[in-house]
Amino acid sequence: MYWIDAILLAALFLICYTMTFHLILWFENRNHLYKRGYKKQKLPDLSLIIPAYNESNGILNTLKRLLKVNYPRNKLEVLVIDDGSEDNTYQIAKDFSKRHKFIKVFRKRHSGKAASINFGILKAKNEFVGVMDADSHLTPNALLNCMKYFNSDDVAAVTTRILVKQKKTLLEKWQDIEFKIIALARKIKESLNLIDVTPGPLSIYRKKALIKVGMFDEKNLLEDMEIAWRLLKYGYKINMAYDAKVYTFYPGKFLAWLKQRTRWHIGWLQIITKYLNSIFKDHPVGTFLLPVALLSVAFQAIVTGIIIYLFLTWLITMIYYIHNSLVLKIMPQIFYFDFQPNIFTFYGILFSILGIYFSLVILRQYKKGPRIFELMSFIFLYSYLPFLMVFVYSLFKILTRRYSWLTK
Amino acid sequence: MKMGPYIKAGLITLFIFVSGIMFGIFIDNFRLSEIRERISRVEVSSLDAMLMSLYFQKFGKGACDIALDTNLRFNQRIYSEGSRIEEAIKVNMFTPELEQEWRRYILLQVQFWFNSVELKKNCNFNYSNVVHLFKLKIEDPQEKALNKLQSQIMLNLKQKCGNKIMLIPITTDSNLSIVDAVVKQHNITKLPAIIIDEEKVFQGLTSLERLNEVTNC
Repeated sequence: MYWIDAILLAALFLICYTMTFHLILWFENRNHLYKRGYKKQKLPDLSLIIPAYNESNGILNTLKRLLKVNYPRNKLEVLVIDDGSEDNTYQIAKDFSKRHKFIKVFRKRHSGKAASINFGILKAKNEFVGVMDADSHLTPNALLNCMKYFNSDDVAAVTTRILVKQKKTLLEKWQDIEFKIIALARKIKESLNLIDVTPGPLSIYRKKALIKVGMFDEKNLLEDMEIAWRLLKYGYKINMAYDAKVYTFYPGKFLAWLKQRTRWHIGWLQIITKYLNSIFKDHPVGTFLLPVALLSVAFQAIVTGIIIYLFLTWLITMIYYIHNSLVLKIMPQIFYFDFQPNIFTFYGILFSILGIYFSLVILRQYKKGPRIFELMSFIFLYSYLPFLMVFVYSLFKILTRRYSWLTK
Repeated sequence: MKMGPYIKAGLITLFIFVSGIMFGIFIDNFRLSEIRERISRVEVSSLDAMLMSLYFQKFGKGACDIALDTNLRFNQRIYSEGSRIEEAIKVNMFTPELEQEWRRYILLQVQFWFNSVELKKNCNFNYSNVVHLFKLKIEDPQEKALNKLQSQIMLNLKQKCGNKIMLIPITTDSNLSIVDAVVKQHNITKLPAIIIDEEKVFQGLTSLERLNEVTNC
């Protein structure tokens, strides 16, 4: 057995474990997805923070939509934090707030999203603080549903189901499938307190807990995941309101998508580095999230290296082959294919079936599902190739020290 | 923290993995037995051809054509069978015995080559013995490309020349002393290499035109 085969088998073992783990959780929780963690209680006062930087195109629409959200106005304050925008975001929000007293607008020097959220937390007067993106659209009951999941004092945060607002391009349709799958995968992990991110489009926190853990990390590129890891490390719980839906915009063009995912990926690596000394400590970060993340990074690096090596070897071989064929005036046989099944065929077929089954189970909940082509291309193309590019691009960014956190 | 799902997932994964390995072993063994069967058939044909040549050498040249026909039929199968075994060696993970089968196959080729030389001499045939020497396991992309192209050229040559040549592919990385001796005797330092009628040696990529010129095609 060659070493490449051994590494690929080990990587497949990890993938298999992850898939099986999710499927088991799904079977155990499938009957109470909407009600798990739900507790009827008196509605608390809530401060909703909207950090905004150059959001003049969408901020008005977001604020208008907030008017349709079902939450008593006397219990809600909205804090728009303009992060030193260079456009007229501040003016638009300010004008709008004049007609709606529960909306307050602040302006500060540009210092990043996490810093804006922290600024908002300190300004917020209520015990619960929500954080939402300036281009997120909440469904009318999103806030009401969220608050029901603060079912005990140790619940520090409640996340929501993030869905894709615009589904015009194939990339947006793929992300629509991806986020629907992620939402369910996140909800089923709630039973083990393994929700590892409180997404930016809308998450609600207990202010006291945020202050205790030191609020958002202003140096991290993925502040919404970092805060979740920190809350878990401090022994808090994170719940998910699967019935609280939030729509947001995701990149429709590949380059914008690559840029966003690279930022997320590097942010994720930052988090892993930051929490390295928590390994095997008695909290979800130490016992599960960090070990799995480290194994994922290791296999990602090795498998990406193997794929690139195999691809380059094949490419150079083909270049030599075609060049010499042309010199000798021989028709090159490029598309030679001789199928020989082996152990990898078994795992390939099995994982494809599991992937398709799990996707269909999730997508069945939605009225309008994807077309066959969209689903198949999502499973067999989107899930591999673009993420390989993200990994390579992230590595390039890190090696060329294009992110200041590396040099500090 | 609950441990239930972690252990359950671990056990199921282990089961799936063991099933996968069992499947892999089953498929590899299936392929191995198929290859063994093919080689056995080739072995029988080879022995048949060899004994036929021997028979006519001992008891008269009157029926040399029958011996030639037997050898040609055997030769037709060589390339297709060889490439099938090559592919199997590349994908099989659990059956190192396959390499042994490959070596057996190479010995049959060498045996056939010697037989063909004898037949040509004793019956005064004018076909050319074309021995194609190459490596099976190559990492270097340039070598891999040359190997692939040379194999294609050899197939084209066989298609073009038909019965006028006996095409004998032999891998040099099979750890066989007879093959090492052939390589040493002909001073071959660069692969792929072609030996034509035990005299002319071409090292590196050799074009179809060049091979056409030197064979009796």
